[in-house]
Amino acid sequence: MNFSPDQILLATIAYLFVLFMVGYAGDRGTIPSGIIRHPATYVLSLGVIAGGMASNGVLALAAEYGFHFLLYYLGIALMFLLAVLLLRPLLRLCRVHHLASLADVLTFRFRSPWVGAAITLAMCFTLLPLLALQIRTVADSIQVLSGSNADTMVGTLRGEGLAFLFCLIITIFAILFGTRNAANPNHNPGLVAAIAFESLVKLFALLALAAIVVAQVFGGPAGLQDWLASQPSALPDAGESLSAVAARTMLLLFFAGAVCMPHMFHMAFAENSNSRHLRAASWGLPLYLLLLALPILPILWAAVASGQSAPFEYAGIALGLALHSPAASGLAFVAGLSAASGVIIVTTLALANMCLNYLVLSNNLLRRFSEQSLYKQLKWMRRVLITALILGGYTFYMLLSGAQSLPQLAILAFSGTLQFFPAVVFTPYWPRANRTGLLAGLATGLAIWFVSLPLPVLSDNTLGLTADDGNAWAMRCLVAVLANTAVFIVVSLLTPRSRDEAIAAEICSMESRIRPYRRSLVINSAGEFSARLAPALGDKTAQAEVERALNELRFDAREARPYALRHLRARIEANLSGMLGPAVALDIVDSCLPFASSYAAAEDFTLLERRLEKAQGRFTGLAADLDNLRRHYRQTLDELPVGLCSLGGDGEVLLWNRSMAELTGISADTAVGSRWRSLPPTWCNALSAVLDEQPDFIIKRELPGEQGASRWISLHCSRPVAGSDDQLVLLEDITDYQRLQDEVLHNERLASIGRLAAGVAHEIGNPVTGIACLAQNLGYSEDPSEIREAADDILRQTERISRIVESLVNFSHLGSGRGDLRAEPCNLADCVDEAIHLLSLDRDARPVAFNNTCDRELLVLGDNQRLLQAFINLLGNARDASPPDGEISISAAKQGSDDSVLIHIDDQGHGIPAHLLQRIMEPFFTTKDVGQGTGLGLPLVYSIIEDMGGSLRVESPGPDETCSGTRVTLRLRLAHYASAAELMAMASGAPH
Amino acid sequence: MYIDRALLLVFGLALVFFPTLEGWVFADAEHWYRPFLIWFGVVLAAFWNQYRRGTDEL
Repeated sequence: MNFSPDQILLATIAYLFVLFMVGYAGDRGTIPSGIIRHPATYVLSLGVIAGGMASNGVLALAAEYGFHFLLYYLGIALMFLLAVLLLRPLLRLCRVHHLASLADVLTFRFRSPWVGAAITLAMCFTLLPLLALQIRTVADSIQVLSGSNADTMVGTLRGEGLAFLFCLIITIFAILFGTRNAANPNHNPGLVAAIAFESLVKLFALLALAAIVVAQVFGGPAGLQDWLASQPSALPDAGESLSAVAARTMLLLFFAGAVCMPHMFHMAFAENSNSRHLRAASWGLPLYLLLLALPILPILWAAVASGQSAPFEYAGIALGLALHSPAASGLAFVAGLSAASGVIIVTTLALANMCLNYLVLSNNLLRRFSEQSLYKQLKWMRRVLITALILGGYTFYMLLSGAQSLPQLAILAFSGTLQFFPAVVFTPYWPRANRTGLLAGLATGLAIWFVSLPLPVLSDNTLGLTADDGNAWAMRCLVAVLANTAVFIVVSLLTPRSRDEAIAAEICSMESRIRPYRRSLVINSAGEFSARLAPALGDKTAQAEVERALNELRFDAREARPYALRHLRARIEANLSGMLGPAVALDIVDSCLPFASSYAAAEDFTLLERRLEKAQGRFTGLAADLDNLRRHYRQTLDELPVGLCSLGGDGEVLLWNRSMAELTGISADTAVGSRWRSLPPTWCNALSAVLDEQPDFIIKRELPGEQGASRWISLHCSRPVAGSDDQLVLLEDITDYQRLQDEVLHNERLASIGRLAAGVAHEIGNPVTGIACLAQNLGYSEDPSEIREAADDILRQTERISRIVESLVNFSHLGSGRGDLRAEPCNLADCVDEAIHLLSLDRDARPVAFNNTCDRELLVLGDNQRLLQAFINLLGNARDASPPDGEISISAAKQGSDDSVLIHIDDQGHGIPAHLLQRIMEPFFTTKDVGQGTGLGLPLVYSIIEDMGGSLRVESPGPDETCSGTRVTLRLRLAHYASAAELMAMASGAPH
Repeated sequence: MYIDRALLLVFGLALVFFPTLEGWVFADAEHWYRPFLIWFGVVLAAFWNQYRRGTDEL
């Protein structure tokens, strides 16, 4: 029983329609994404490698070479079993740099558009036999199924007509599959689903066919074994039919084809970027191929046992017809149809993308019309290219004499693509390879291949594959690839490589780690991206691409953080790479969205850390230990009780811990990746102030707090981190500390006043007694001159009292000790004199001589009252340490180098023992008797001087013979008078 | 680049003992299933290899 051609064509259309619907359902999301993204789906999609050769050609191989037919499967399986050698590095490259084809990879590696164009053209040419093989498989299957004589079907008009019809149908479906998503032609979940479905169909069809024919011909597996026992020559002796060289060459062909064939490359690397899926494929695809190979021998033996005369390639269909089993015939046909259609669709899709990227767009053959969307133009170009490629395959099919078997066509195609294998191997393993060597080797290999293999075939000479032919084809394949490799190596060694090639070689190297770099864009916000891209893509396309990238990253159009802008740029490049190819995408992005400087600033640790966070739990071994260590230290930094932020040399915030977020009210998500100058003014000014200072300098700032209350912060900036320009800033809330310090200052001031109280009382008592005496005498005096003199004396005494009281009142105020440090020019000599005067009021104190030699014109920048407090404490300590009638000298000199003033207070006292010198700044530490000192004086002086931007140093004994006791050195900032008006204003006490 | 030593050992042994194995595996058509058994064993070894070790790539 036969099928009519109309029935067969209808079945063909029906099957392809089902395949298309599966793809459509995958794209629309009808098939759950969990199934689409499952590793099993990925593994099944790789079954696209098993085309007409796997469904039909291997039957002829098995009949001719016995067990050597397994070489077809073993070559492919071996590539995936050893995925770590070649596939994993390629996957890493493709994922990171958005490479979707072999032409992309080699163009990226060898940095030349000529390489991409050459690879594309060569690929198109070498794959014509593969396309012809698929067309032959289906066309001949239709003929056999319709009952045509197997021996006469070759070269007939009917055969060619059927082939053309099939090409027409497959072109329509290939266009429907391949051009639905013009914006991202390399990511088609629907295509993955359809090809996985197709792999399942052909596997099921072959297994079911084997089960049917074994049952009907042999009566079951036992019958098959009995038949084999009675047929010692059921399989040709492998050693006699195929030489060792030929066997190894066949293995090499299919081993290389697993990575060089564009349909395999597309499904393995363009439609998938998950390395876990590749790990599953390392055993999953060999298992699938094992199951695919399992029914071949039973089908072959069933054909031999039944005595059918059709070529072995179509033994399954012929068996079904002979056994009057429509199911068997149908299954055999569907197996071949699904295998062939999958290869044609994916191959032409992959080749069309390559042709578009390297033959059309790179040569500016695509004119852009600003009023037309780029997507529409790209879609139509792909349709035209897919049609041209399928017609090219049909043309090659027509050129064939028809005497070639499917294995012969397969060897033609695989031996052609073998010429790309040296370049694929050298990409990760030999950095010295350059584009000149690649092009020279490829030209040599392809020339030898063309002359020795396709040309004889096209000249009506068959490609002898048998031992009788001396397995010449194997030698020709080896000569071509060895010549290719030799020329590649020699020319690469003899010619220089460019700097770009060297960088790319390093990137592609096996040991290279992909490190993101932090670079600044010239663009300041996401809103500018569209305008920048419009000249290259057109307004509509540019806007669509930017919006798409913003949606994918969930960024706002007002985004201005440098980290986010870099991310946006990378995403736009990735999306454009899928649409236009990586080379064109890189050109567009580099020209429209350039970086601010041509050199990378530093590693982008923010991006690296986010990737590590996403990859949490996936690491093993040492990588897992290092990641745990990173998390531990990261958490330590995050949990520090002080605010910590890290700032890059370019001003980008790299780290913002939890305390920093709490103190500033700015979350880490907002701060990290942005410039510190874009922070709220309060914090921007604070960071600016601390970064302007020298490293290790601590500044204090008062900030408005809640409900009108102030709060104080201290900022401390570290030195630049070794090997980079990054700096660390520590932020601490010192409000409580500052309030405590102010209280201490006020109390110390009052304590000083208390110490002076007795002397003050005595000082006031003297003039009061004098006034009383003079007043008494006035009562008895009648001489006007005596009265006037007495009155003048009384006035002088009251003035004396007024001065003492005024000094005490001014001193006790000191700005009420509430932190309002006023930095203004202070006359140093006057301040010292005032301090000496106040100290001299204390009559119980040891009598010493103060020698103030400070320049009367010298001004320092500080708070006058606090400076007075400091001098009172220091001069008081010097007096307490000095012997009676000792001398305390106060001198000052300018330091021209840093615009500061050094003030020396020298005493001739007993000095400070070395072991106590370290402790004198400790609060409450004192060597005086109980009740004589609080131990807060020196710490307070230190704090006052530090607040004024100065420093304090104590040396005991002094540095030279003039100071036998202790020398206290203050360094304060020199102040300048801006104008005479300021002088006048200061003198009168008016504000200036 | 990490290559599991177990898998390398399997391939190494296969290479060394291939002449001996070849005679047994491809003895005659009656025991046509032997190559597939060997093949299945290699698949199991590959499955065990990738199952034990995770990936350290981002």
